[in-house]
Amino acid sequence: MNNNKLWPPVLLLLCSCFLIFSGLFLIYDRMKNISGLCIGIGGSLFSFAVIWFLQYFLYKKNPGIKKQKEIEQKDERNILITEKAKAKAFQALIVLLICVSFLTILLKASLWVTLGTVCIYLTGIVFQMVYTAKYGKEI
Amino acid sequence: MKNKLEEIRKSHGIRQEDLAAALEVSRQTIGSLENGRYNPSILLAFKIARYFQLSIEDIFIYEEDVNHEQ
Repeated sequence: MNNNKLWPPVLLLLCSCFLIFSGLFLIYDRMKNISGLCIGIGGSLFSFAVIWFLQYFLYKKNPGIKKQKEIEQKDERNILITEKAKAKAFQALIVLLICVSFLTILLKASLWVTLGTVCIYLTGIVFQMVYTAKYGKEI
Repeated sequence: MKNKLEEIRKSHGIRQEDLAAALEVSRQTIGSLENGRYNPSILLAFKIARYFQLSIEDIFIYEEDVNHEQ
């Protein structure tokens, strides 16, 4: 998030308002699914834009806070902690996905649901292998 | 890896906050380094050594060296 410029959050705010307006009034009767999606995405973008605005004005008023935030973001220990937490979360997610796959079989869910969860699990493992190979070459 | 960072910092009369600001790291990182909970990257080790105008070996002690001394 670049907090130096004001136009990106303004653009984001306009897009979010357009999406919410479209979802509520333009396509609500014709495409209810798409309308819900527009409202959901619009709402998320709206909150993101508001946070962006608040940060912009806060940092403009207190440059010290901005500098401290930048230091916190670039701090090697913080980066290590974040990466480690993400790796642990991925491990937990993989175990959870295996459990969900078995649960779908036990609950006699449709085959595509079981295959879907297995596919997500396999995609995660493939990504892990790809990145391991990539970083093995780079580092 | 042990270190003498706290001792050296205090002998220079510098607060953790000031050292952190000079090295562009968080104060928590300095605290963790001093407690021995975190080992710095080689870049940060060089930054610390340069800041105090010492060599890395003057600040950081490799465990094997400690065992040899004992």
